[in-house]
Amino acid sequence: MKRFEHTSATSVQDAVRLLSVQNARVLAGGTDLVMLMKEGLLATERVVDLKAIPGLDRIQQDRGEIQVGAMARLADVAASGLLIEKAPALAQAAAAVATPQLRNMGTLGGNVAQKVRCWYYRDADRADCYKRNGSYCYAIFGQSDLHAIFDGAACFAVSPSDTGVALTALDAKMVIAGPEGHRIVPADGFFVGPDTDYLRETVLAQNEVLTEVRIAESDLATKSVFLKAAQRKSIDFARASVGVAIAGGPVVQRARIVLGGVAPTPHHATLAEEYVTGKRLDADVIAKAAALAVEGAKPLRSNAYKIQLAQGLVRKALTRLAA
Amino acid sequence: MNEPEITPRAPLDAEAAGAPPDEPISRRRLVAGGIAAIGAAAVAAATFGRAASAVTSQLPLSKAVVVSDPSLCVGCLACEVNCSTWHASVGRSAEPRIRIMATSQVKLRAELAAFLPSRSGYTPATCKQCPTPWCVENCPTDAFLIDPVTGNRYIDEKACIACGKCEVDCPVEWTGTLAHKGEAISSKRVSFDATKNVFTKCDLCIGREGGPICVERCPVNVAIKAGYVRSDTMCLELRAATPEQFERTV
Repeated sequence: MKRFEHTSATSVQDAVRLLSVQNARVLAGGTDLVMLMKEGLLATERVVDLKAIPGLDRIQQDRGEIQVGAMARLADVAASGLLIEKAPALAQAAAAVATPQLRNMGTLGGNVAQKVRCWYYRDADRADCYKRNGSYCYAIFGQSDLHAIFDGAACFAVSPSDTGVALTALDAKMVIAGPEGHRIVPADGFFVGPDTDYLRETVLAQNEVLTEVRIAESDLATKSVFLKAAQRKSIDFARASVGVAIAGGPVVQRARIVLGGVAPTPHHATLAEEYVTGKRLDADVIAKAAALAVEGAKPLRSNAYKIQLAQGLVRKALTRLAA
Repeated sequence: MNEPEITPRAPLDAEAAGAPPDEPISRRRLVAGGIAAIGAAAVAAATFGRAASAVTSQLPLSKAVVVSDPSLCVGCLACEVNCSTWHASVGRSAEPRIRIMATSQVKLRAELAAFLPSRSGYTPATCKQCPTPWCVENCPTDAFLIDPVTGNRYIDEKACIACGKCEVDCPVEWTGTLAHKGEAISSKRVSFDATKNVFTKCDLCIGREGGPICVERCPVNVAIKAGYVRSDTMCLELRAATPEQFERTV
């Protein structure tokens, strides 16, 4: 690993100031950043540790909102009574991430802002991968088991974040601090696909810090669920996942059905969302919605299995919410 | 395969159109010098339109146009993304100048379909580098230009006043469904970038060493060149923009 400077921010403003040098990186739990640095995938001259900033790990309720600090550990998000009651999809997504050790280290902010897990990107010999500022995607003619079935554009790596899927389903808002102050971005607009910029996964600029996520207290958030399918069930990244949130009942008034692990960003199954709105979730409606959720999928050579996987997860998630 | 060169080489007959050999050809120069160059018939024309048409017919053809073979396109969008990324990197509009249309009637070649069965039905399409470029002729500023060496028709975005005359005159459209997220499109291939307030079109990546980035980075082209896919055509390739090619190009 190349030499770098370790700094510890005492406030959000301090962190933004420390990030002003080129190639400075935010250090939250470090479970992804340190790997990227060791593998030489992320040039880093300074890391800005956020752990010493007071209050950035709080999980609280305030004026009709649930506020979760970006430095909240995934283990705490998973165990939060408030989230389990008011936004269960987020707690379930946090519980589904990796292993207990990693959930004790990893943070909510780090999980949503992590880099892709594409095996070509992570392979030191694939220097011409788009994510490494190259000019080729090996997944198109190579092994594409992990890759996108929706919205691939030059690069076919998928968003690996479980909590990002849940937050998108919950219509969360992401609070971002930067040199100009704070800005709030809906979760929908937080993730960046390769059609916009294949070098980034989120809208976060190099000198910005995700400080908090906010979820409006609502029927939608309360009636939510997250499900995930992974090859090694207890520890792996999602081969496919789904976050579903439903408002109303027994007739659905509003629905969010978001797929993970199948696209470069959390993927809204818009056709399925529109289809279930105004309907009762009986078995036929659920089956049709699950089919619509994967309509338009364009798998590569070896990831067509994700269609069935995602369809099954949507069916299970809707069935659970209908019960 | 013999690809036409689009990097500068032997000068074309630019002087005949009223421009010094190393200066781009524009409407203003056509009006100033072109009419004299093409003779009395054009000078005698009563209206600007007729005169300009006569001038236009004397313009050099583009030595290159990007053409596609839809039976080789797997809809990966590398051409669109690289087009946007490169143009933005040199300060031009990030609007893609090439778009992949979803065209279900097009079938992927068997050799590729055996490998990527779900990725059939795409047609990349871009500016056809018209033999008679009305866009150049009717541009009221010197924004729409012709490279005197390559014949490439391109827009100088710094000079574009976004009047839209070129869009009106453009004879080719993208109409239907885009491969990109299945979005509907109905647009001329000279298209408007609201962010930069300019019109934009395929400029064959003018100024880029190596020529058009879409041709260079198309992964099917890469696979063909590497011998992984056998084909006597490329998914995207450069051909001379002759009137006959104009009729054949999608």
